[in-house]
Amino acid sequence: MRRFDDKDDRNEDLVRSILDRTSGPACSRALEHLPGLVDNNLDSGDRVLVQAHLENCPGCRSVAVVLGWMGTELPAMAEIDPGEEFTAAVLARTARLPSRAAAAGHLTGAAGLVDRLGNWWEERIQRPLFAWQVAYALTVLLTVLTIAPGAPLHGVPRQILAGVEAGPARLSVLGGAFTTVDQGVAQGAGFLKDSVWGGIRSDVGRRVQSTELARDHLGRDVQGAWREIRHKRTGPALMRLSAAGSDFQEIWRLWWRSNSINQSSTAERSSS
Amino acid sequence: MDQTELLNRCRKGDELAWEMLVRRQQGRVCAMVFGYLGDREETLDVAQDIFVRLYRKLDQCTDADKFPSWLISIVRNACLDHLRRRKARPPRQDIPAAEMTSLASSSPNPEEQWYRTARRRLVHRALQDLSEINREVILLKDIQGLSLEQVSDVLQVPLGTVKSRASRARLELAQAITALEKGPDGGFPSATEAVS
Repeated sequence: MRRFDDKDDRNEDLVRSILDRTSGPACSRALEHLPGLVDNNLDSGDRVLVQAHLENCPGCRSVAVVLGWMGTELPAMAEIDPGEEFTAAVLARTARLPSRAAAAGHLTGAAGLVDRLGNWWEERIQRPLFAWQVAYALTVLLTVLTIAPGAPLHGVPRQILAGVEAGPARLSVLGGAFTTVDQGVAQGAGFLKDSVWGGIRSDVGRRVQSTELARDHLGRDVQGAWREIRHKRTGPALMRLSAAGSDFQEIWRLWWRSNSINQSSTAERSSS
Repeated sequence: MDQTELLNRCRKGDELAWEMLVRRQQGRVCAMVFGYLGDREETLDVAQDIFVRLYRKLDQCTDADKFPSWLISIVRNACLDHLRRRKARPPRQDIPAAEMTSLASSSPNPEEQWYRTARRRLVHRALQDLSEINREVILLKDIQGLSLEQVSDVLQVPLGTVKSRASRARLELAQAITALEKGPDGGFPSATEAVS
């Protein structure tokens, strides 16, 4: 028995060395046929050849064994029991959503449209690609608003860039940008003769007006600080910068106070 | 209750019908999500999100016959979105594929259950090594039992591509499982893991 095994091993070694020096191992060809063998749709010639290869190739044989049990095991994996807690969690989440009965019965017209838009947005915003798409769309919109001739913000970036390049001593250039923005807002309001847009425009105008004096102070203090820095007077420069900080704070406060004044006056009007 | 009536009742806001629909579909949905993600916690979270989406979109599926493939499309889109997000934020740990496969076993024989759990664990680990298209073909055709035409519709690739991929994907999965079996731990779970 021992001698017979040895003879088999020698024969196998001989076959391998011949294949290595001629066509190479036939494993890749045999593997190609394995799914057909398992599914029983190989022709008889190929079947005999593949089975003969499997008898002598443990690697391909183990793949064939796996393919065999995969046929029964994979369909059995079609369902997983996530447990009763899962069902309860899903039902709790959907119970918090607007009732389907309400949606089916009442949400028509504008309310239905708003509901559908809300659902659309909530679903879309979870997609990673959507955030990039929104960013892209906003970039295009901003580009059109600032580059297209006659656009409300046309020329503003160039003026801001010129102001930055000129340094704080030429802050009046930025004043031009503010004026352009104001004109742009006015033009936009002309295009959209809408009460909401009119309200926004007047609100922005009020805010710009209320911060006008503080903006002048900010400009003067920044110019002064720049002058002191150029003359290497650190102490006065710091004082000027501190004053500029206060001016900025004041602008911020006035801007938002303008909003609160607006809101309170609206509330008073509605209550009266 | 047949699927058409169940869906109609769900659309009209019948909470009991919705509960039945959830119970009927949760096993399939969780199995698919687990096939894509390979992580138990993520699977349960994403599967819940899918049912919320399904609840909102029920009106869009008017044909009950098309409901299974429509649901599979929703599951697939949700999983692919999640995988894209995961690329930026890798999972917290290595893929614990045994955690959920043990839940599925219904065999009364502990030894048989151990082998079944081991095999399923191997399959899930090997699935993660396949290319995206091959993994999806296995999940949809071999596990969920969709026809080649349905797989072609869901994946939106030509039927010929699915046909040529089907055998190749199965072979690659078998080779990946064989490689895992020869690995350091043989790919088998510990005894406590298997019977828990």
